[in-house]
Amino acid sequence: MSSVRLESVSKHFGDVVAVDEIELEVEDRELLVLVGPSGCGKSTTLRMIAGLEQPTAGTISIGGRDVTDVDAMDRNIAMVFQNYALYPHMNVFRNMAFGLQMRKVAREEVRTRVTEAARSLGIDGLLERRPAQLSGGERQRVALGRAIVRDPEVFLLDEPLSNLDAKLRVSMRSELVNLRRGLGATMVYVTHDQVEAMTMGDRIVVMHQGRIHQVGPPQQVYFKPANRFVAEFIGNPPMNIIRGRIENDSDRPVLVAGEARIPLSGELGQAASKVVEVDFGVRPEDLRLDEADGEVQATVKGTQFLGSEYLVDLDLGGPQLLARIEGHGEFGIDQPCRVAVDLSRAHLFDPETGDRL
Amino acid sequence: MPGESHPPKSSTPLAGLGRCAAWVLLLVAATAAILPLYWMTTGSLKLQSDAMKTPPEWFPENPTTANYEKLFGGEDGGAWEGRRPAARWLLNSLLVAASISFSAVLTSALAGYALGKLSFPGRAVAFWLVVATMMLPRQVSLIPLYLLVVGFDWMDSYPGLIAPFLCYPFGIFLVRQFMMQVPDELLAAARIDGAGPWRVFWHIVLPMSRPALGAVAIFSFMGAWNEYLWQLIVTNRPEMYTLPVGVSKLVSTLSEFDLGLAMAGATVAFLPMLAVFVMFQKYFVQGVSVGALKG
Repeated sequence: MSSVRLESVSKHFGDVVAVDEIELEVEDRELLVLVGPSGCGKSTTLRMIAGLEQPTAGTISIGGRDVTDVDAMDRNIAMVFQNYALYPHMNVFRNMAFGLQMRKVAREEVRTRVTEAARSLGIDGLLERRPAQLSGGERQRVALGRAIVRDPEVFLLDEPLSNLDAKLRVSMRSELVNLRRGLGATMVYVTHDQVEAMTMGDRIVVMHQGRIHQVGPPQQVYFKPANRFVAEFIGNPPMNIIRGRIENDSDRPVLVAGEARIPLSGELGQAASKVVEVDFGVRPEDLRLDEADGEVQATVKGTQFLGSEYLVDLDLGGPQLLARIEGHGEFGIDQPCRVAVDLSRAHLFDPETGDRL
Repeated sequence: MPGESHPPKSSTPLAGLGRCAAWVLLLVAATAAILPLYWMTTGSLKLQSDAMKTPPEWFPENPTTANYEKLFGGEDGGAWEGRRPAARWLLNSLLVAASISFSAVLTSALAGYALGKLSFPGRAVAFWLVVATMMLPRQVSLIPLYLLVVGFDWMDSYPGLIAPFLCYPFGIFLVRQFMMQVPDELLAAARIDGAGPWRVFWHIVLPMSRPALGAVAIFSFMGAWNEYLWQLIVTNRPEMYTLPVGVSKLVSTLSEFDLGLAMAGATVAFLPMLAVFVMFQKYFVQGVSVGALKG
């Protein structure tokens, strides 16, 4: 059992609140991804789990044991750092063996475990090399190997792929997922890259300004964002958010934003009936340019060709929207068009609190 | 060598001229640096009569080891109780310089680690105190140190020669600056790997700081080797003299100034320093650049 539990954990650096009373549970064998913009407190949270930072308040337990006051060296966790943190004066073998040697594991066993871990990562031919003689991808594997070899209760990964080039990052991503499946390990993974979070995590924790905004599986976070921040942060390009007011048009709520009038129905309509002003959110892929059924009049203001799709900037006579249109098409600048909104996938947020309505 | 990069060769006449000028300048500078050493070494192989010749003899016509024989206990041995004085002085100098250098490396490494990588109340004050001692003129501490040494009854003893230099503030400063460049993640990784502060220091920080420690070893060895004033003050008995003190006393006690003998003494004093420099040249250059890059 190697779950991790954070109860009312806070971290203050002087007057700055880096982490603000968070509650979090990482289940056994789960890959939990902490995601958020720079300075949101995700790395501080990870470092507190590692024992590298002492929480200002709250308790942290690993595998049911309260480790709040336990030193990093006694927590039986392994961590992979963003810049790998390989010991430059040691070769790959010694880098991987260091943790075992510090724990006084027998020499023969150290050799066996390092060799096995190196083989599983495909770096068994590099054991005599120093970190400076390795490529970025190889260093990444050594850093992972150093963690694996210790067979820890929990793996903590702090933006481990962010120093790799885009192509390598994609392949390492799936390797990491496979590796985790093979190890059956509990992992806490920190990233600012929401694509990484979506593709790797069993659950995602979206953080902002030291607080947790949403915890859930990637699909839930994407399709049912808890608030405006999550809606805008998760998804690329981000969700369109336009501010409007609700009017009644023959007993049916209508969102009025600029010159656009979007009739609301179903869940959205019910939510809208309670408020006057809302933030309306819709993802670019949930907009269609449809001359026949499109209920909103718009003007094309620009296009970006992405190969299999276009990003089209639309002006709704005030509010601006970005639409992701699949296939091929001709879009002239200032060309008028009609836009259909998939209301089953649209969201309403409270303009004051940002919460989902 | 693979991976070694060379600057691209320029083919324009102007660049060629610039290179030529640089060579000439370097040649002049190198000659200016080497000439005194050459004069010293060749002078040590001349008799007094040849050494004082006008015009000077650039290459010794009758090279002789007489000066070295005299220095290491030849005909003047009687004046120094029949011992081989220079050999003893050389040994004294080596012992003193090596002890000071070893101690400077040890204390600089420990203090540098504490001031650069550990957090404790008063760390900044402690660091600035160390830096402040570097600002004090040498002469300020001379009398208090002398009184201390007398108080401890350490006159004419190795502790008297060594103890005042056990800590080397510049070394602490240098090592601290260097250790600050060791990424914190490495220390964190080592802690997570199960190493406590001492093991982190011993297994990670110390091996990574070798360039700075090498530089401290050289600087402190050089400082101790060339130290003259303090060693002159605390030694009265000839067998406790260090080489610079001994040679100067030997030369000054003779009825007539002996240039050849003085040159031989200087050459003997210079050779171990040259050997140390050649051996640790890499660290010396790296050590100098440590301060240049960050500090």
